[in-house]
Amino acid sequence: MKRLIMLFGLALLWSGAACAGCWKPVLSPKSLTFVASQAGAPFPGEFKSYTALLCLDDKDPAKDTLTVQVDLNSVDSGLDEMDEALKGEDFFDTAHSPKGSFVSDSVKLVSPGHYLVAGKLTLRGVTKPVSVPFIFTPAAGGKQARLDAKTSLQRRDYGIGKGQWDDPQYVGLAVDVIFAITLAPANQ
Amino acid sequence: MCSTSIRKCPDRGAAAIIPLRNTAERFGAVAQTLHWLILLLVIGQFVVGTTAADLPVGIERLKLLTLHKSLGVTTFALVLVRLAWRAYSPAPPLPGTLQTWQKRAAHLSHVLLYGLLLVLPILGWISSSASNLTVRWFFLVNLPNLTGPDPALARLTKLLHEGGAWCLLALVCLHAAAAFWHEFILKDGVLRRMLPMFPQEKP
Repeated sequence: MKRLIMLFGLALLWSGAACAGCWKPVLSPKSLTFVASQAGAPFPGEFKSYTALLCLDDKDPAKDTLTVQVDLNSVDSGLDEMDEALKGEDFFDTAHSPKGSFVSDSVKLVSPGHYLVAGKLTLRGVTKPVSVPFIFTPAAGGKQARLDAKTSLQRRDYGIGKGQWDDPQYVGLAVDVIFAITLAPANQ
Repeated sequence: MCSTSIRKCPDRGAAAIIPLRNTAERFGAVAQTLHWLILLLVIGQFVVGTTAADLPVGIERLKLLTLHKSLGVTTFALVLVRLAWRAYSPAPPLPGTLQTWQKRAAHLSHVLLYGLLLVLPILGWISSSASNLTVRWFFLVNLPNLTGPDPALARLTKLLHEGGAWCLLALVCLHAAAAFWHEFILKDGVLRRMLPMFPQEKP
């Protein structure tokens, strides 16, 4: 019995330590959006399905982590035939790599609430280092928080927009990715 | 003197032959330029539009539709200029020899022509906006989106745009047929009023 209690206590401690201040997204529309461009005009869209885990350790920032996994098949550009093209082999090639992922190497606290996460982004099987500033805003009561981030990627770095779509005049090279995510505690 | 016939004045340049403004007998240089420029644009738009409509989703389709939208914005603007000019410098009246029904038919076909020339670009603009494709004029200026992404609205307006384009083609053919009828059957000079190379011969 003592052992059981100890084990339970350990488990509780362990889970408490691992997930102290761990957060996951509450999926909502337009929370993970992008702005590409066509013929020089903005072409916005969103990913409707993704997961993420943000763990912030107040005592030991070196333990802070952020991981994100995006279901690339959930892309919604508001134009059905373009969504199909985006899933196709010239863009995300979801048949071979259905997910895009980000895994942090380090999270730095820049100023209260402002962080800089450095890590590796993988799209289409191509992994590149990226660093993205983000703002973490806990809501009153600790039951919710917000994560806001914006970064710009070069689509050619990941081989996105191959073949006929390569032309940067018609398919812009820079793609903004915007996170405006509501977070909920991950450990309950 | 040059008052009776322009043909007696070989020294005069083309600009002197055709005044800018419309006269009681014929269209001036501004109205003629706009008329023929808009015709070229409409023909070009029809060719580009139908070619693009037959292409699968791809960069070629995107390129053609980008051109189509730029030309469409241009056409729309020129039609507005043309209507403004027409208000400032009224079109020469139709020959008094025409019967009432012919004048009514001419009036109705012109209203429909101008109407379609204005409505088609707007339908295309709505369709493009509803397809989340912001219209950009020759890589220079973005037009505001008239609506957010809306696949059902995009389909409807695309259908109306395409149907309207065929109506415009039919009207243009009718308009040309009427012009030839005036020229070769009625011989009342109506076609020549819109041509630069036939200066007026009547007193």
